[in-house]
Amino acid sequence: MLFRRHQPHPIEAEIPRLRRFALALARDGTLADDIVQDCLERALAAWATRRNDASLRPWLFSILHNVWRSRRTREGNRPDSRPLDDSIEEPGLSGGQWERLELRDLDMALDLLPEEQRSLLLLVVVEGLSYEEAARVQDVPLGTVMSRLLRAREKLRRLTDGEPPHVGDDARPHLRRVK
Amino acid sequence: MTGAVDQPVTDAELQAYADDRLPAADRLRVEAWLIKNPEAAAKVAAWQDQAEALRQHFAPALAEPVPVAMAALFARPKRGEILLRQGLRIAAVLCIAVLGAGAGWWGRGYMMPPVQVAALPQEATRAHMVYSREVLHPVEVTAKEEQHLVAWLSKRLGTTLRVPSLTAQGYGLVGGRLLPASSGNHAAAQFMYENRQGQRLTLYVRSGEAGGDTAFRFSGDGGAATFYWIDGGFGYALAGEAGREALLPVARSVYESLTR
Repeated sequence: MLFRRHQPHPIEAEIPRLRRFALALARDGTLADDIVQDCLERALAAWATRRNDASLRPWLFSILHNVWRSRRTREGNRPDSRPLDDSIEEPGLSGGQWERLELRDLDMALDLLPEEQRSLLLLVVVEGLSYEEAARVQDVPLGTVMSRLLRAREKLRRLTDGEPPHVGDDARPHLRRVK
Repeated sequence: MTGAVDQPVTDAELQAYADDRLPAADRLRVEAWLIKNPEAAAKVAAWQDQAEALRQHFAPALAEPVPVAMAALFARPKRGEILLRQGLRIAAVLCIAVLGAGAGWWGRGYMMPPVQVAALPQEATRAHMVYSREVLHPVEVTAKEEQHLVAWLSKRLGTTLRVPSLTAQGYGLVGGRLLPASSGNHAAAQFMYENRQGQRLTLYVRSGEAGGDTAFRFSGDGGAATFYWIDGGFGYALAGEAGREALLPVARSVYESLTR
């Protein structure tokens, strides 16, 4: 099939947003671009069978999320090792490092969020996806998206207020910031 | 505390209010409630400030230029490049054919059936990991030629294969391919399915299973979740990377439709 040179493919316009979403997931530019590349190839291969009524952006975000998740699975080599629910906090920095960090910086605070929380903030708050669309992208029930988003907001708020992340009844000691 | 006429406002509603996702009637109710609950109002304001900070934080990323490798996917290759690529592909195929013939000659004395046969789930998982990642040629014969595909693979495996439909589970058939099975001269077939999000599953069928029938089993090794069973001399395995829980209902439906 011939494409005229000045008629860009609809997916092309979404590349910057896909890279931004990938970066929110991976937090590493090279890895992020790698998964975007994979996502674009899959999206192009599936383009002909795509349902026309499905909106493009959430569809692409879903593919990207799947690419990311299968890569994580492959690297971890244990498909069930990672709980889908992130109510259990990921192990973050060890105790001593907290004292040296200025957590007011938003970028650094985002680094400390679990990836599903960070990427959900991007999907809903920045990209403006509906809660339902975000749930489909992350492949979780709507209720999980709502509670995950609440946790993300509260955790980010605590982090940017300069508090160490609250880890519930976890073993990590609760530290005060040392000025 | 709110008055008796007010319904209690949940955190989820507060959040939807902060995100401006509430229907007008609910919005008014929440607004009225917030006036009486300054602590909650402060929380909502903090969320909204945070949202604004996030939008500003992520905005510059959109202005970055698109990497060449990504843009190249959408550029139509020039005629010369197409010919070169086809040439390289033909050269690669010839290379493999020559190597294969050489290996066949060299290995002619080793045609005794191997004592140790790779376990069914391992072989299925390996095949899944290789071909489900494939973008250009995930299958040899596509689902457009389903009749031909099934007839061909049935002949090679020496049984009448049935390809279960997984449309109810949201997966469409992409196609299938023939694979060598590690047991003697037996063959295996792989059918690939894909859902609208691009997640892929593969159904692997292997002939020459010497042991007796087995029940429905699970293996999580090798990077994919794989459900498998042996029935009447044939091994079946369904592999996917969506995780055990997501795969289970699909695998159960395949199992039921094939062992019926």
